[in-house]
Amino acid sequence: MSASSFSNPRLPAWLMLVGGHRSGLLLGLWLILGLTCLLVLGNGVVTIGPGQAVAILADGLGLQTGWPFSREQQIVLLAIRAPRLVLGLLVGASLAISGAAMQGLFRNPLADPALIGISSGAALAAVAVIVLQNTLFAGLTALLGQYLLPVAAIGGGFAVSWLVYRLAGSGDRLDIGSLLLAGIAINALAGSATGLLVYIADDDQLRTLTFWSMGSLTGVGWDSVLLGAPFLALNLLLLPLLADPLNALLLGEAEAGHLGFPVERIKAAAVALVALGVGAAVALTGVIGFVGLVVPHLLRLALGPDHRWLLPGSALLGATLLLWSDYLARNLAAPAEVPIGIVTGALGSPFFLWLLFRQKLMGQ
Amino acid sequence: MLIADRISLQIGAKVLLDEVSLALHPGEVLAVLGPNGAGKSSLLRSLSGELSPQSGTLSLNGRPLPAWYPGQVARMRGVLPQSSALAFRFSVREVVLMGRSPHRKTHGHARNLAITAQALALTDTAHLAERIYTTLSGGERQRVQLARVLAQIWEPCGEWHRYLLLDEPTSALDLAHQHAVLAIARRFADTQNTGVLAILHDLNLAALYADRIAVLQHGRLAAVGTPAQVLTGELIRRVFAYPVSVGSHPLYPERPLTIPHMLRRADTAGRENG
Repeated sequence: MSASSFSNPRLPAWLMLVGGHRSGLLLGLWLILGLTCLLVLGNGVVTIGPGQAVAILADGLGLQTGWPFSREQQIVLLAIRAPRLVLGLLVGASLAISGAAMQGLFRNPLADPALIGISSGAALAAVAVIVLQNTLFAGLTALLGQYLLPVAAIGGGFAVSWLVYRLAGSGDRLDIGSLLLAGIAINALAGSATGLLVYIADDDQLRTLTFWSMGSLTGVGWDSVLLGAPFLALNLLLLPLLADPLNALLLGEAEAGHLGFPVERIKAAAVALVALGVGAAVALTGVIGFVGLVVPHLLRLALGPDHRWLLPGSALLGATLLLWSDYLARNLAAPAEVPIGIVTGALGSPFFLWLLFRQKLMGQ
Repeated sequence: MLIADRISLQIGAKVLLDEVSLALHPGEVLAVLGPNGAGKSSLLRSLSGELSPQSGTLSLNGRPLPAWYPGQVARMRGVLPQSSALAFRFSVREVVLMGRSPHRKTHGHARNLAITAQALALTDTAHLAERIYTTLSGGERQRVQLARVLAQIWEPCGEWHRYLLLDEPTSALDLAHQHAVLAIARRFADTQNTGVLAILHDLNLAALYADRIAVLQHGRLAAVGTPAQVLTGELIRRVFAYPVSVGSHPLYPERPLTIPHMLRRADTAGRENG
């Protein structure tokens, strides 16, 4: 789409400065993400300047920049901060793009993977694995090894997505009321099942669980990045391919079918990819809510609802938002860390309430 | 041709269509009339592939409907829904451009934009192109959706005939736009050899623009033929259970003109009891 052929009336004047059209905005998002990465890499007990961070990364690729850095800085950056950064990038991008796709699929801007229960389904499966991996699931543990956790979380996410879809989808229109109610029911169900598992967990498992259930990027190394990256990358690379059919689905399922899209297959693919991304994200970092709700919403205001722009834009802004949330999580109560899920929750829930009020005021 | 051959459709215990046979020919405007719940929408949604009849067959251009790929069908057949669920803030141009999605691989973007502009102009919505769809009135939305469907089947599709299925295309429109929409349908039939099937409620509108009229009642085909053959006082009184007089149009004597009688209070009471 030639962006110049659309003078975008949705764009507030101050954003026009960033770039009069959508490609300019996407470029701006790339830029902000890049700067955020440098900031995050430099933040911590060992300070690393942006120039030094670039120099260390260049050195890793065999390039000399002449910028001085110490051995300690190099180790901290490459072994501790870089994996955390990469995981944050992937998880944030995945959560946001999944939120955008889910909202397209449900034709409702309030459909967030966490809100409608996909995350808690994934979390329940993950908790079950953590608590029961040496007893009930011993056979599976032997079979799948470290992959059991992400695979189970993805399965849990998938099961819930499908269940919610069946519950809320009556005929060709999905009712947001039943959607959110289904989400509440499933969140409650998953919550009590998780509670039961927590109750029977031993002390060691309990520590893992509490930390993980509030969402955290603490202590991730390259091993967890490698574990989750394939799933998250699939989600990030394949979801944008569904942009055209998702646009058509906004017209209605029947209309999308009349435009020649294989609707049932598209729906199944979207649900599977969202479950893949959200499940893997939950398995690695716990439940981090609201990213999938806030990011696509902000971007729709600036870019419009066209998924060809919205999906890549969401990935970029989602990654940025997650890195900033992680930055806050590390610095709000330094040297202690606040779980990142608490940060995104604190930022996201007022936003969600504001959305509801706005919808009510506009009489939608 | 787009043919329904003895299709029957049942949902639960309710029979929506009962052995309905109807063919839509290239180049004709076929109006489908009938009281509420007669099965008009069910027929259209069967022809559009949304509903699958339990028995009977549907065929498009000589091949069973399910034998075509969805993408092929989309280039031959446009469907205008009764109302659209679109609640996202697309611009009007973006909505109409979506009608070109089946052609994105074969046509350049400039070509698709040009067709979009022409479809907007034809439906008298060009001035709305930059507006946000969700801020439009019901009538404006209906015309924009029509533009989208027209853009979809704008050009000949190889050797295959094209069809347009319109589900109450005039329900939200004022007098001038009702006629404008049917004139567009007429023009697509005459100049593009497109077959147009439109569900209508206004008998006189149907009589003016349609080549043939099909009347449904209780899921069965009650009559099909030219407006003069079908729109008789006897048939209308029987199917719609309402008293009318039928004359001929003062300007177009071959077209029937239906004049409803006034409903008196006693009749209302009688109808409520019945």
